Amino acid sequence: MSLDAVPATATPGVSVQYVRGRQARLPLRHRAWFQRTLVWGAILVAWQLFAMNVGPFFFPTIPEVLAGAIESFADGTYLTVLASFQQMLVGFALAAVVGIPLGLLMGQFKFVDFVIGPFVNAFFVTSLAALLPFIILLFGTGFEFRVAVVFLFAVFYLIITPAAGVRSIDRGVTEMGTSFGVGPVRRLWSITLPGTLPFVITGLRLGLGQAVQGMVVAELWVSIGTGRKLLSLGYARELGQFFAAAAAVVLIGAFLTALLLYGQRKLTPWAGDVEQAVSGAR
Amino acid sequence: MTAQLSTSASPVVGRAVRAPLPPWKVWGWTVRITLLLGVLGAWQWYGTQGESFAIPPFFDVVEAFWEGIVSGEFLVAAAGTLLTMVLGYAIAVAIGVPMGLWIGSSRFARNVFEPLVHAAYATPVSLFIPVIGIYTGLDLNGRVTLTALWCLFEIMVSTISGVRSTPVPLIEMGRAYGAGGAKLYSGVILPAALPLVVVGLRIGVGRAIRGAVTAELLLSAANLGEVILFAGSLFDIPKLLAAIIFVMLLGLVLMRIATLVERRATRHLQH
Repeated sequence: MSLDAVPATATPGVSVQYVRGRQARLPLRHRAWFQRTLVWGAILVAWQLFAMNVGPFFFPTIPEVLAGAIESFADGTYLTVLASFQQMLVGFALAAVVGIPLGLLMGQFKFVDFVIGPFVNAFFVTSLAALLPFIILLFGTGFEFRVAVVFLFAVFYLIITPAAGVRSIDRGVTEMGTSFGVGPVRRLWSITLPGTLPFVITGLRLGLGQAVQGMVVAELWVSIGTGRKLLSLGYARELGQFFAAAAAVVLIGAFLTALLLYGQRKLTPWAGDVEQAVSGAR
Repeated sequence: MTAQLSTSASPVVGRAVRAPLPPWKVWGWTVRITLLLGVLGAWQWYGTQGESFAIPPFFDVVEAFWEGIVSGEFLVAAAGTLLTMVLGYAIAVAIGVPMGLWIGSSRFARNVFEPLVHAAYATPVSLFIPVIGIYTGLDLNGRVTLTALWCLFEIMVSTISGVRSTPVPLIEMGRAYGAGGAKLYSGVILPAALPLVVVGLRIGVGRAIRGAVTAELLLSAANLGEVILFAGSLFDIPKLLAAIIFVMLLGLVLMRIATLVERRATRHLQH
């Protein structure tokens, strides 16, 4: 998308890329912050009115959610959430250690891709949640179970995205490398890895989302950690604290995702958004 | 290898001559099949050792699978799961595609709703399993809602990027030739957005089946989820594994169909 080439004055309603400095000259009602304040404010007001109308057993009001957040700090719910994320990161790291090298191999060697590709793709598109009752038989309900579920949910993204990255490397670059006498090791280090890095980071980001999903599903399944807390809050209809606890999971996940996005921009500023390139594989 | 080459090179009357497989592909097929047979063989061997109660011999699972199909149990359950999936998916498409088109093309909608959509996209839907029953009940309504949520934002985000991918000069040309409003949509933006919209719809199929199965396992036991849970609670491991494999195969077949539909829908773009 090379929208930068289009002069700012000629941008029509669709596909407008904001140009810095132009926004300031927009009339007030067209400015993003004004529209957001208005609509989001209206949503919050509607939420509050709706919640006051139906009562706390059905939907919590905004003050109730805030009180729930304070309560969650006080009774250690947020510590439970952090502990869950720590365990999730173990499974996620394991998935990265296994998945990324496998993905690089798959992208580099057609043979490896041909042999294990179909199996990886098959697991990638099917519903892994169905495996939960079996994983529980293998690993019990403890730490290993959660690590195994997170691993399974995340690993296939971490294989497929780097593989797509290696395939996306310009043939001309490798050929030039070969003609300048670059050996396989040097090629891996100075062509393949830098070229694949944005894809690896994108894979980590997509895999992380799945890993959080896996963490929640696993903990709900065996009723442990954050999942247990969420279930008991749901049963007790303490919806204010429920939404406060759920928001913590979302926010920590969003924070980790933002870290990876930041890393991608800092480490590989030359690459744009490569997520599109992977969507064909999904 | 040489023998194969010479036979295929000689003219065979009345029979289409296929080009010989490249050697790496011959090896690839060999290794692929060997790997599969090796895994299944190891599974069968380990299962007959009886060391772990969780791993029955492979052929017991095959037998249970056959039993499930013949007795109709799996098929009836699959019909229920598919109904949940189709309803949830239809709702998600009916909301996701128009919303995506709007957010993609209107500056106001993008300013206001796009951050919310991305926030929702990043939210693990399974978080809401403990409370979704309060709003929809635990039966079909709840499962359909969960399925719809599972794939809604994927479809929406993909539609948004599809609209965004419309080349600006194309829109300008359309405008210059007097297209506006509905005409601009149907003539320029929709065709340009189509490939990514269809990608979103295909990924949405996969997510919908995942959502439906998750709902049936975690929200309220029903259909295929119930078959799995029931077999698990009886420690009928062969049937449990057979049902799991059935669910995974069902997902694979659906994704395969979705991929074929995607190819057909975007065939005019491929050469």
